[in-house]
Amino acid sequence: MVNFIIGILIIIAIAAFIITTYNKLVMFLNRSQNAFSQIDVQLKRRYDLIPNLVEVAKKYMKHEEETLIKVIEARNEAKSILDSVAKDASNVKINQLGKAESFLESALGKLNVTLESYPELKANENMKQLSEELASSENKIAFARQAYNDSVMNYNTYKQSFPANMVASYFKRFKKDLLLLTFNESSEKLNETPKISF
Amino acid sequence: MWEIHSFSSYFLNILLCAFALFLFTKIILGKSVETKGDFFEHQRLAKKKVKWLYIIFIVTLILIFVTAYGILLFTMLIAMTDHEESMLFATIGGVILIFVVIIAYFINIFKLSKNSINNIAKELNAEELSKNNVIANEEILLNIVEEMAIASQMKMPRIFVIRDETSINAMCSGEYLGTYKERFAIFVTQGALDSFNRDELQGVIGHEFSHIFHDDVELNMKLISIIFAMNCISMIGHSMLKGAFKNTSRSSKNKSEGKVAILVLSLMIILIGFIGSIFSQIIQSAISRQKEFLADASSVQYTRNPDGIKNALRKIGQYTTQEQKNQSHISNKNATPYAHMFFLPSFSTLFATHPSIKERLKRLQNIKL
Repeated sequence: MVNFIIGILIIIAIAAFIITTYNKLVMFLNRSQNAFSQIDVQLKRRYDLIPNLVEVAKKYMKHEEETLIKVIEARNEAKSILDSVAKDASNVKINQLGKAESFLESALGKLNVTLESYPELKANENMKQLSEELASSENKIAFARQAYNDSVMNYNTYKQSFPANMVASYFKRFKKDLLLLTFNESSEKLNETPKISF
Repeated sequence: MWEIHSFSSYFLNILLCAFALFLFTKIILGKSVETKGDFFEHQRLAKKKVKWLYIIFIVTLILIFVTAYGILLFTMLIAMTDHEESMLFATIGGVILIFVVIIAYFINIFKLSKNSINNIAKELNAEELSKNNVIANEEILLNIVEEMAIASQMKMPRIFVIRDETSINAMCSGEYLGTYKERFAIFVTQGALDSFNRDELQGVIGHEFSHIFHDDVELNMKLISIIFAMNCISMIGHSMLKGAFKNTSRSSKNKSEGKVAILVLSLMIILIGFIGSIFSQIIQSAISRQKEFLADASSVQYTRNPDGIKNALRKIGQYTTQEQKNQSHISNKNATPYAHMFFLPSFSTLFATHPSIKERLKRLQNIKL
């Protein structure tokens, strides 16, 4: 009788362990996937902001048409690549997106430098607001990437460590390790993202 | 047969246990304060300490109940001649005590969970921010909260500014905790909004998001309810004492011995409740302090910019020494129940729920990226 009760208790303990570990794995995995979709959302939001910024800048920067056109072109290019990534997320596409992104960033950087010589534009309320939005947008992209990498690291570490690895290896959906996003730019370049600050 | 010396050894054992617990707590909390390593290491350390403190809390509560039971039994044995009967009475008393504690706990939880965000906002005289009604630096605050929500992977909370508060502080709160209707709010004082720059504000908001992420609002509610339950024991002792005195005024001689017993018993119950409340408060503040360290480390994780929160803390430190009064102290008396939820110590108390700014800066200094 005692043995029977002990046996049942052990079975309950094992079941509880498997259930909690499985649920935790699902939680970590979902967090990572959600973080990945956030990056996409934030990139799109920035692409939507840029035309507004250019529109306001146009009124003041009559002689800098070329710089503005470059920004818009870079933005359109990056946006179309992002749309195609949504359909087919291959490594080649993601690399292309990275390149388009850095191109856009350098174009924005140039715009930032030219802005310096237009004090009345800098004083414009609309412009102030837009550039805060843009700066925040840059931050959000960086944070979304960071959150994705953090959650991937949490997931991978939990999945690989004992005793969770026993449960993870049993289910197919937990087989693959998630990949960390590598930043195409060197970390120094990340720090000098075009923060248009007033 | 129960003798006086068996009781003295009973209480001696409890004292020994308490002493061992005290030493154990010292060792746990003193462990590796000087951790070098990244913010994940710091988070792990704080989380581990909090876990140990839970265990210590539970053991303390058990010890307090064992002591209470011993005292009950002791007074009953002195008051009554029949041993069987006194055992029965002591057990009934013990069960009643536990029931009182549990009921008081749940009553307080219920009362606190009814405290919705709107009520708190009204009490603190805070104004909600939304996309449509903001001016320059408020829009930055909104953006920062959005950024931190992304970094910590949480839902967007509601944001309030405490308009007539020039002190520098921030806090978070929530409603319907643990249910699908769960919603959080972040409160920032006007003083904080005006004196912090973007990076500093980001560090402070990141700190608040850690409190949301780690369910600190709910935890604090529970701990406060335990303290309230302990105070309820004291209140029972008080009412017993009152009853005993009423009886003495129109006393008859043959019952006076029983009255002495009731007097002793009620004083003992008051003492037990008092000790329980003190110890719960000490442990609550210890947990709260660890949660602050955890939140500082998490803020660095979210912002990846230790300078933001460090400068914010330094700014407060400067104000404190310059103006000879604590800049983080909230002047609104309605805010007292929310003391533990603020970013900085909002009231000075003996049982500090927050570590000193110096200590926090020292830890942040040690965090590697």
